Order: sequence, then C-alpha cells, then structure tokens
Amino acid sequence: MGPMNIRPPFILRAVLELCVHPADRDEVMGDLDELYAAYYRSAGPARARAWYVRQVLVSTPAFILQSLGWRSLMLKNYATLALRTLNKQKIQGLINLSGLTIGIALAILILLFVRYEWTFDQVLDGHEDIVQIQEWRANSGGNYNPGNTNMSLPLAEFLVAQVPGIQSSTRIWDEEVFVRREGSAFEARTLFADRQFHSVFPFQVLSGDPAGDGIVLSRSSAVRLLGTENAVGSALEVRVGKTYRTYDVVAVTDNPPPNSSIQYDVVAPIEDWIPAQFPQAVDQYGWSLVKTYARLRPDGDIESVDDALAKQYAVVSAEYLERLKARESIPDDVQPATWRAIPLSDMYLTSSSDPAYSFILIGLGIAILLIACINFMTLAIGRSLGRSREVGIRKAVGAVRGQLLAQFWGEAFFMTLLATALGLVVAWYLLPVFNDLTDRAITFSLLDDWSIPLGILAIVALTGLISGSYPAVVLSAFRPIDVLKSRVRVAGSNLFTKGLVTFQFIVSVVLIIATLVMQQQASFIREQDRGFETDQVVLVNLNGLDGEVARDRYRDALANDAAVVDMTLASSSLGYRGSIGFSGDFDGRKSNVDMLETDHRFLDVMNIDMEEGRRFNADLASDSSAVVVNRAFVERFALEDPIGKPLPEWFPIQPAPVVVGITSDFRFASLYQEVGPLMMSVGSPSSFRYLYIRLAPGQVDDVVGRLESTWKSVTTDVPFEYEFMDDRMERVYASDLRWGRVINVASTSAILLALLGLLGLTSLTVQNRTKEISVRRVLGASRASLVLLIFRGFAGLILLGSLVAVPLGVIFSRKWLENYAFHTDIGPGVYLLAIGAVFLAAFVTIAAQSFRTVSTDPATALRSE
Amino acid sequence: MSRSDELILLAVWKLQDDAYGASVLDHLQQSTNEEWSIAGVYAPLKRLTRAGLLRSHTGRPTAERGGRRKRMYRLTAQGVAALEQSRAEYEAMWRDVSGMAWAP
Repeated sequence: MGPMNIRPPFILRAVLELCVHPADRDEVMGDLDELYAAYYRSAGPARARAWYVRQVLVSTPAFILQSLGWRSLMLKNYATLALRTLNKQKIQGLINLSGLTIGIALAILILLFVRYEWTFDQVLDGHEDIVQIQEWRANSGGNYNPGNTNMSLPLAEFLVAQVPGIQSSTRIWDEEVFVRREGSAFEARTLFADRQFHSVFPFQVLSGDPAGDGIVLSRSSAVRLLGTENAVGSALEVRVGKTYRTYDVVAVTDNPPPNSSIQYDVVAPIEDWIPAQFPQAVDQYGWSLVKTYARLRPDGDIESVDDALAKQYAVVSAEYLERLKARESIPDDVQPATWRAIPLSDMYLTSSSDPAYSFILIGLGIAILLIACINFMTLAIGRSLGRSREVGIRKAVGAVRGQLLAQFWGEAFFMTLLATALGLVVAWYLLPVFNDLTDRAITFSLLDDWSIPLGILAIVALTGLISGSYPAVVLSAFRPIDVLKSRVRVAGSNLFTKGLVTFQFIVSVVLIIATLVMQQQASFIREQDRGFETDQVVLVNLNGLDGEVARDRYRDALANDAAVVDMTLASSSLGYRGSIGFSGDFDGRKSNVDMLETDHRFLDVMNIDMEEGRRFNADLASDSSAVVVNRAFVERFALEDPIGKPLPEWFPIQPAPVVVGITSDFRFASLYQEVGPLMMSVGSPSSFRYLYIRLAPGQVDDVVGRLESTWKSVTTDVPFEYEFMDDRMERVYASDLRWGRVINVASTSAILLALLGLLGLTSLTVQNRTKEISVRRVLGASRASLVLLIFRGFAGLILLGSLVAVPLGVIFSRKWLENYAFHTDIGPGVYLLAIGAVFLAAFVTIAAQSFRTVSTDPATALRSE
Repeated sequence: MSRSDELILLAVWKLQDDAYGASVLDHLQQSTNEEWSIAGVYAPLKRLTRAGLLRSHTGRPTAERGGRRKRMYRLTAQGVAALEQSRAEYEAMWRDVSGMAWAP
C-alpha cells in the first residue's frame, strides 16, 4: 500500500482546511496527513480515524479564532487608511460620512417601519387563529362588503356554545375610565371583557392568573397605579358607569406591543359593565355595542364558522333581512347581510393601513441610499488622481490586484460601518419625529427578532459593495507604468462621474415634482366646495336610540341655550360613502343610487342648495312618501321635468315616490369620489344613526360640555359619542396629508444629499484647477466669470438630468392623479419650478464653494507650486 | 513562558534538524503520554517564533504529505538561553528534595 492512498476522511479534512488560515494551510494540512498516515500504519484505520476526529474537533475553533485575529488586523489596516483619507480630505470625508450616515439612518427607520407594518397583530402565540366578528352587507351584485364591527351582547356566548370551530370568545368594550387608589384617580384605558379574554389574546402573563375573579393590569399600568410590578392581590377601584367598584388585581401581563390593535392598561369584567350601562341589551340581538373576538380551534376551519354565523344571523334578524330585501335589489339567493369571522392579522394591511406606504418608503430609502453611495463614488473618482499614484507605487512594489481590491473595498466598508454606527444613533434620535410623521408607535427595538439585524447587515453589505465598487474595480486596474508616467487622466470629469451626477439630479427633480404634485392635489381636494356647511356642526352617534324621540327631548332640554341653533337627523354621516343604496336600472344601464334618509329639516339645517322644487315640509303628510333627488340623479336617468311626478316604473318600490325637489350636486360622499345619483327621503324613526347639531359661531368648548351633560339628563341608555363634522371630514384626508409630508421630508433629504455631493465635487474641481484659475485671474478674468466657468461644467449635467426627469415626473403625476375622480391639472409651472429649484440650489452650492478659491490672491496660489 | 511552551521548545531542541509541526506533535505525545492537538502545537510555535525564541524556514515537500511543504523550526540563541534558564530554575528548586514521601 503506497503512502498516497492513506487519506483522512474527506469531509473532516475539508472542514479543517477551510478553517485554517491560508498562510498556514500547507504545513498544517501536510503535518496532519503525515501523522494520520503514520497512525494508520501503526495503530490501524479505526484508531487513526478516531484520532483525526478528535484533532478536528479540538483544533477547528482555535484555528477559526486565529484566522479572525488575522482578519481584524487587516481591518485595522483598512481603518487606518480610511481614517487617514478622512483626515487628509476633510470636506470630502465629512460629506461621505454624513451622506452615508443619513442614508443608513433613514434605511434603519424604514426597516423598523416595514417590520411594524408587516407584523401588525402577529405577535401573539397562535395569532393566525384570532378572528373578529363583523357584519357584512351584500350589494346588488351579490358581493359582500364589510360593515359594522360592533356586535350585540349575546353573540360571543353563542359562538362558544354553538359553533364547534370556536375555542373561546370575548366581548370588548374599550373605554378610558377612572381608576382610583386611596382617593387619587388616574385615567386608564380599560377593556371591559370576558374572562376568556386572555385565552383569545394570550399576552404574556408576568404574575397571577388572568382568568381569576378581578382585574388584569399591564406592566406599565401596574407601575403607574400601584408603584410596583408585583401588583397581584392589591385592590383598585374602577369606575364602571356611574359608580366605583373595588377589584382585586388577579394578574399582571406584559404591555401589549405597540403594533397590536388590542391595547389596554386595565382589563375589567364586562359582566359588571353591562348592567351598569346597557341592562336592556343583555340578551338582545338588535344592538350594536361591543367588539367581539374569538379564537378558532387549531383544527377548526373558518368557512364552517362563517356558515354557522350566517344561519344564526338569519334566525335572529329575520325581520331586518326581509326589510333589506324589500328595499334593495339583492339577488334572491343571497342573504342581504351576515356575520363573518375575519382573521385579525389580515385586517390591518387590508383596512387600517395601505401596504403601498411600505413600498413607497422602501423605494425612497433605496433612492436616498443610492444618492449617498454615488456621493462616495464620485468623490472617490475625483480623488483618484492622487490615489492612482498610490496605486501605481503599490503595484510597482509588488501589490497584486486582489490586495488593492481588498484595500479599496475595505476602506468603503470601514466607512459604511462607521456610518452605520452613527446612523443607529441618528435613527434612534429621529424615531419620535418619524413616528409623528407616519402616525405610528414604532419602538427602537433592534433585537426582538432576526429581521432588523439581517436588514442592517444587508444594508451594510450593499452600501459598502456599491460605494466601493468604482475605486476598487477601476483604480486597481491601472497599469503602474502608465500612472507613474501620468499617462492616465482620471481626475475631474470623466463620463462615468457625469452619468452618476446626472442620475442624482434625475432623482432629485423627480422627487421634487412628486412632492409638488402631491401637495397641489391634497390642497385641491380639500379646497373643493362641498355644497353644504360643515362648520359648527356636531355629530352625535345615536347608537340605536330612536332618533326622533332623542332629537325632540334633546331639543326641548336645550331650548334655552343660545349656542344651539338647530338639530336634524340622518341615516348616515355626510362625507363618507357607505350610505345604503340600491341600483337603478334605466334603459338597460345599471347605476348605483345612494340613499339618505333624513328628517324634514335636514336640507334646511345643512344649508343645501335647491336647484328646482322645494325641500321637505313637515306640515305636508304626503312628504313621507316624497323624495328629493340630486342633479346627478336627474341626468343619469334622463328624467324630464320630474318635479311633482312619481319616479319611473323601473324604481324597485311601487307605488313609486313623488319627486318634490332637485338639489345641487353637493358632495355627500368623500371628495375623492364623483357625485353619483342620490335619493333623499323622510326616514322612519329607526333608520336614523346620527343627530346633527348646528351651533352658533364661537364658544365651542363650553357648548360641548353642556351638550354632554344635557345628553345624560335625557338618556342614560347610550353614551354621548360626538364628533365635530369638520374634524371628521379632515380625518378622511389626514393620511394623504401625512404621506405628503413624508414624501416631502424624503425628497428634501435626497436633494440635500445630492447638493452635498455637488459641494464636494466642486471643491475637488476647484482644487484640481487652482493653477488654471489663478492664471486666468492674472490675465484679467473677473471673479463672476470664473464662478460661471465652473458652474458651466455642471449646468449641462443638471439640464440633462432635468430632461430625463420631466417625462418621469409627468408619468408619475398622471398615475398619481388617476386615483382621484377630481384632480387638479398639473401645468408646466410645476416642472419648471422643480428644475429651477434644483438649478438655483446647485448654483448657490457651486458658487459658494468656488468663490473662495477664486477670491484668493492668484500670486499665492501660483507661488505655492 | 508556560509549561507547554517549554515542552515545545525542548522538543524542537531534541529534534534538531527534523523539527516541524508533525514531528514536534509526535514527540510530545510520546514523551508526555497525552494527546496534543495540532492547533495546540501550531499556535505556540508561531507565537514563540514571533517572540524570537524560534526561527522557521520552509522545508522540502515529501510524497507522504501529498506534496505539501513543511515549516521547519530551530531554536535561536535566545531560545536556547530561555531553555537553559528554565532548566537552571528547575534544578535549583529540586536540589533539596531527596525523594518524595508518600504522605505529605
């Protein structure tokens, strides 16, 4: 047997070989092979193999540590070089570092945002089995749309008792109430819920048993209310309805994470809350009061739960379904309304938040980081005249290309790591501002899971790779002889630099255009004329009260209050879609008609313009079967002279109501939507959902207090749930405004970074052309002409960038405005403004930087040579 | 200088012209009756070289080693001095001890 045939186990050998530092690899592996062969011959294969395994196990970690030690030495070398460059070229170094820092800080914030959004309501164990029960309504096409999420009180009990797929369920009434301890009261967000709350939402229990008889506190509220986390056994008074009740604390849980839709300080028993607030609703299905959640059995499927819910809905609301069926043209085989179990983790990104925001932010983050990388690259190219000599000398003394690649990339990575460390600090500092801007409650928790560390690692890897790519690949390729004989001209302006700078301006101009377009559209939407008055109107949610009784009693009670001008009732709140409608069929064309049921005075109180005919009149009994339609209704169905006539025979209810008036096309739905056909009629007492109260101008604050106390004297059945109408209207547009601001901030940072890069580039250009500038000065060139000379070099790039950016901006604004039924027209002014702004900013930057050089005495500059 | 450093220096001294990783390891295993790991030999060898007690040069590859080169080690004058000093210290310590009593 020749010695060559005796070889250690292949895989083990490969592992070891990988761990040994390349410089030692030959002798270490050779020694081991030799010893293995020797043992193989003296002690036999089995013992030799066992020995080898032990060698690998013991030595591998030690070799890895040794390799790492060597690498950290290299890193120290890169760090020294990077710091030396930073020190030598202070402005450029500072620009590189601050640009990368800002870019990375924003990227980290965006990572946190994306994780927050995509893991919303997905933190609890078994979160995929948590469902919310919602009421869904069918439309004329037979498709269901989500509606009410407030459920009646007996539904939760039904779920657990009658639906096999449900494991547990809980009702929740969410309210800020006072919690008292030794006479001092605190306001606390309290969930009145069932005992099973914690089996549906298993927030981590720190101590105690949440299913016990008493209240559960979150950790922070335990500290706030009782001064300690060990609060189990302490007593607290919770205000339930009008009186305080004393409870024992039975458990303390961890705080609900910020990206959970369930938030609480205190969880209190709902059994005590119901008799205090709604004793009459305990076993009634007609009420819409509490949110209802359930946990599916692991083997339970959601379809069978939906079936059971639909059947129960049909049983308990048979009469209501009949009415809906009669009023709306819903296909016969479709149940007009039902309950559905909707997975909690699906709800956030489909209803509360738009996933597009995440993508917009990711796009912005990449754009900004790219601009920072480009700054790094262009400045490295600008410096490359100096560096190319360094490369030439290094090569001449024997450096191979791999070493130079490693050196330049090493420098870039060192800068990136430095910027990441600073970026983490900046991100931490900016997080409150960012939360404010995006209306989120993101916490700076980096190590909760792998996503953030991995994300940061990816950012570092990409940023380092991209920003180091040009210097590493191009500079390291120079032939030393050319460089040292100065045959290579790389400094200043080569085509690649020009391309990069142009790209930066493209991004800047597009972002400015986007900002301007979004702002213009947002203000356009908000400044449209609604056709009715929203100022000084308070909306009170009737929550199932008989509207007419409530209105009359309330009006009488407030009769002497000069601040209350008038009141009226309606079936929905203006400014939203979502009023009940039917679909009219005319000449084979279907068209949806929105229906608004009001009392007689609605049109007067809301000051809605009549184009023809009259408003409803309470003194005319016939008006209870009359309708007022809007102009769009008349036009859509081509009615001719409809006043005083009944609606045509296609109208689903016969005998058809008589049209008494035509209103202007006031904006009953949101301002995003076109005004469609609307039919208004005098509603039945049970159809009203909102009481509209018009106030006299001024002293709004005290009026609300009076309204509330009077409400409580009139009814104790329903809480006083109010909102100012203009606030409610604003809320619809709030997210548009907010995202307008986010884009604004992003584009501002992008432009500032691009200008920063330009600043560095100008200083380099000026530095490289000092001699030329001085000679020109001596020959009599004015300062202004010299500044212009330098600016001219960049002006072409900005112009080129703008030429590319404008078509992109046009495409963006078209796409963006397509989302709106009503949109502003973007004139050339916006594009000119964007280009002008970038031009001006670039000019100021360049002029400021070059003016100093131009102003120094040319003799000094020339003598220094 | 630790005991293992001392033993390694001594092994290199004894092996003279034939001191390299495998032979040092083999020699140590035979004289101490313990198993030594390759990393446990190489790290001290490199450290002692850096410290100036050893010097190394590249040796000839052999067929036994799959054509891989050896790194040969020799003591420097400083290394010899260090070994002798340590030997003197040991002998001074042992001088008065006349056989070990079983019970202390």
